[in-house]
Amino acid sequence: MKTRRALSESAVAWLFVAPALLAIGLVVAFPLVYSLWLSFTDVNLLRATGPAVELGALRIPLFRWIGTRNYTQVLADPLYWDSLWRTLYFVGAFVAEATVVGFAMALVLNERFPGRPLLRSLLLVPWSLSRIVVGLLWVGILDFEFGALNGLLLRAGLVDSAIAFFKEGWSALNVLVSVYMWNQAPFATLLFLAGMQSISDDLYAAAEVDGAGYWRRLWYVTLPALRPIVFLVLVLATVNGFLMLDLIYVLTMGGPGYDTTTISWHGFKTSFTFFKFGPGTAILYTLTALCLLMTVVYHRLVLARFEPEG
Amino acid sequence: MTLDRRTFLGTTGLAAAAAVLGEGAWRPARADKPVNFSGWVFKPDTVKDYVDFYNRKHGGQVKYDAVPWATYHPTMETRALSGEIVDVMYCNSANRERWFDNGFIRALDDLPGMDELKKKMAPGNLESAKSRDGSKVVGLPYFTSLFILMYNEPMLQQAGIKAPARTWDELVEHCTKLKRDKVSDTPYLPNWNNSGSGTMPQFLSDSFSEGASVFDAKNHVVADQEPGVARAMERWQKVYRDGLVNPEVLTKTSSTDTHRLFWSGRYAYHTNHSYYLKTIAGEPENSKLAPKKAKMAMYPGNGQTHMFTEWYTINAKTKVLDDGWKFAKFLGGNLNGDWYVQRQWCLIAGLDNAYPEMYDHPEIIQSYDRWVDLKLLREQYKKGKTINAFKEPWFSEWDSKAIAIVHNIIRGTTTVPKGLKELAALQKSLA
Amino acid sequence: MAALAWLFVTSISYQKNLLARPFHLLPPDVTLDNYRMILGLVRFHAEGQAARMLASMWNSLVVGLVVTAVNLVVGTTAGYAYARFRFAGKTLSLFALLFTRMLPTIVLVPAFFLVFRALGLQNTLTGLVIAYCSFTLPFTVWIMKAYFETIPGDLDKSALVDGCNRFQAYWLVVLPVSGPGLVAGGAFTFMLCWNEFVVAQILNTRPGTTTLPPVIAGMNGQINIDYSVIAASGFLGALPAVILVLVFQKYMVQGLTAGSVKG
Repeated sequence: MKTRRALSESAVAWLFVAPALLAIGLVVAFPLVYSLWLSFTDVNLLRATGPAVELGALRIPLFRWIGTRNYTQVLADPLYWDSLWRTLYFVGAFVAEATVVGFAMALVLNERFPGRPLLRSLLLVPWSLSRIVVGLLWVGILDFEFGALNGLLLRAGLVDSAIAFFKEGWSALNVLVSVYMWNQAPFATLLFLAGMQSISDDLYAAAEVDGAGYWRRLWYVTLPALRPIVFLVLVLATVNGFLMLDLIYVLTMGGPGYDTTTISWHGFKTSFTFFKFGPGTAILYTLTALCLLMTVVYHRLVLARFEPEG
Repeated sequence: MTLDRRTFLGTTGLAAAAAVLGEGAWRPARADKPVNFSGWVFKPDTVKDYVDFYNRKHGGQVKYDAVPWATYHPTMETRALSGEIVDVMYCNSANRERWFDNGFIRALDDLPGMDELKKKMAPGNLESAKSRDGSKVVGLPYFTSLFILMYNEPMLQQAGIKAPARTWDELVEHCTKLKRDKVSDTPYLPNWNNSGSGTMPQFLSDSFSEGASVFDAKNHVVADQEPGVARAMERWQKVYRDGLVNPEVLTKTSSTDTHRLFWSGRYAYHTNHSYYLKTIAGEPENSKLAPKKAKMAMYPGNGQTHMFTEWYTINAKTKVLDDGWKFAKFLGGNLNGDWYVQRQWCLIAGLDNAYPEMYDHPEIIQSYDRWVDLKLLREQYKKGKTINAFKEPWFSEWDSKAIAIVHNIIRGTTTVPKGLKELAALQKSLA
Repeated sequence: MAALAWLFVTSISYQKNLLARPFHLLPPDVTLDNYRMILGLVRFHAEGQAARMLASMWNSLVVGLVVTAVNLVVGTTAGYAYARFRFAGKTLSLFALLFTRMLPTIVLVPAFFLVFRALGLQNTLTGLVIAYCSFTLPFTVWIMKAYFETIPGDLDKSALVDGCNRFQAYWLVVLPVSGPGLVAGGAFTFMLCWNEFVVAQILNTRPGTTTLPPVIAGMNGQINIDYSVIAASGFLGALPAVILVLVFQKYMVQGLTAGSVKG
């Protein structure tokens, strides 16, 4: 009786998850494997003939297998490594900014003050914008010729001539980091806020009795309780940082020079500007490997460690 | 007032509904054999007028759409690869040969009337129109252009500079003075934008004006062996380092965007394609330097600049060859003896022309007089230098990737000799 | 916020005032012309480009709604099973889901490009719907799993005792009280689709078949369109997602944090 029930539960469960897993298998697993295959072939988009998998009327070209040549070619290109270091800087800076700013905003919004409800409801607005719009909006602020910020600074007499924010690769890259942070930090704030509100008031009361000031309470009560959320925010920001493409598209197109070219932009350009799908998918697959690594870290740090509590 | 507002809201709603229903996916294609036509964005409203005119007058069924310049060629390739057939397409010189090699576009020699058009074309343009082996004509000319030097006459006068610079040293000297005297923050506006019509044509022009070649007879990149190229690059480094240029030019995405900066009257010198002088000196509603406060001067150095032609091409897979060719002749030739579009481009946009007889037309002479010294412009044309390297299969990728290298030279993140070597190495890695 | 306000100010300004120095924080003249231009009410020199706004908004709406519907039906059911059942392969498939959530969507696009070409799905909204499910579905399953975990299990247990089968307990008892979670998951999915750019830009290149973000980006990359007009289109395009978030914020915050806080 008992075993039959357990069996049927498993079967029912699979019925429930089957449509989703099937769909994900079709739209994620299959393209993922096919892209992996492409990264080992000499893809010629113009050639319709050659080896292929045929499923009825559907004919999926397989192209010529060339082993790891795409990878060796891609990895031999100094641009790849430059882009990689740049990506790591971008991700690091973005994660730091998004976490710190997100946390600071959460601290402020966790206090009671007039206007808090309004601020809280507006909090998510930057996050809900398409990054295309985010980019446009910041062009309007930072532009050398007509940007509002330059206009204000000039008018206030704080600068003699307009600041060219996208002039140096270094400053352009940091502008990208900050703009992306503006877009993403609200989500971190949201998570932190939810975490802060789940901390019992008793803990604070106890700390206060012990004579702990605001900063000590923050350090000894708030932060430890938020540890899982800090990890979550870090990991989400890391992955988002690796993937960012659209802001680069509207703001810098990878320039000046290659100074804002990240791995994802490098892979995107190779695949869809020069139509070299072989090397392109190879580049994107190294990015995927990085993301997989992050997943393992995520799993180790967040799930494995905190699931027992939840 | 209230009435206005109500009418406005009413029409908004109607237009919105009409647009959703009309432009959306539901409208069945009514035209039975339309000619699909795509171009990059340059005065798309004008092109649309041409198309409307053609459809009315010649009973055509042409459907036109414009694609942003910065992504035009990759987008058109994506569309071709996805199986879509666009019958008539713009194509720039950097991509044309590759499109032909890959079977996207067809040769035009066998089409009726092509031989006549060949005879009408200037020899240099005809040479450029041919495929790498010289055997086939693969495009009809959209327009021809070359880089020219433009200057802001009132600003120079204000600073007591009597004549525009004749040498590059003089130009740098003027700009340094203008900056020092606080007449202009960034006196020089070179066309160093990020697109295919910016940095590299400027690079070729300045190299040519120093008497240097960028490619040898076999179309190999030899920029690293030419002292003239190095001189030009050292000058670029200097004007950038000294803050004589607007540094954000490097991230502009088109030459049009770049030339609009010159409208502001805040710059003294500008180098760009000849036709941009038309809006600068001829459109008072936009430009502070119109009418004719901006002028052209002979290019500094030996006066040579880069000259090139852009093309109308026909899809190799077109199913409406006759109609497509007729339309292509309307655009890039003289359909029924009438140079309508070629002439209109001269009149409306100041685009220069591959057919010399255009410049005998009184209307055109009169029109050019409003914004440029036509004699000087034709003089400059004689010094225009074309390249043949654009016909190599590696060219478009080289041309595109070279931009970043040249930008690194400009910004001094690499040295001149090292950067120029990279340009040569890049070509070798692609060939 | 000031940034968004400035976008709005820009969108009702004349270009010449934006370029004027000294700079004005409040525009000397206000105009709705930029909006009229993109809505096709007045003629201007780039009206062909701007006219694509409304058609692409329609495409965005269709794609967003269909993907949301698919996600809610398929993803919610799976999320429920992950929250309630113990079954063989649960940990493994959950890990796989987590992995797909971390996947760069762009790596899938070359494959979509080739397969859709073979199937004739490029330049179709169906193609976009399929591609968008690849990055929304894992998210939805995850969010809904976390949300169902916040609903007391006693609820379904008592339903089972009352004679419902597993599916009835889910459909008739749990779902009706899961409004906030569904709204959160749905709004989130819709927002992701509405704002997506790269995939649409690559897969749907034929004019009239793409969604809003590529059209706005195209206007931005396009010469001869005033920044104020682009700002107007950006503002108009942002409105639906912003309104969605403002209206359903309470539920989204609840649903998203219910999921995330637990990890």
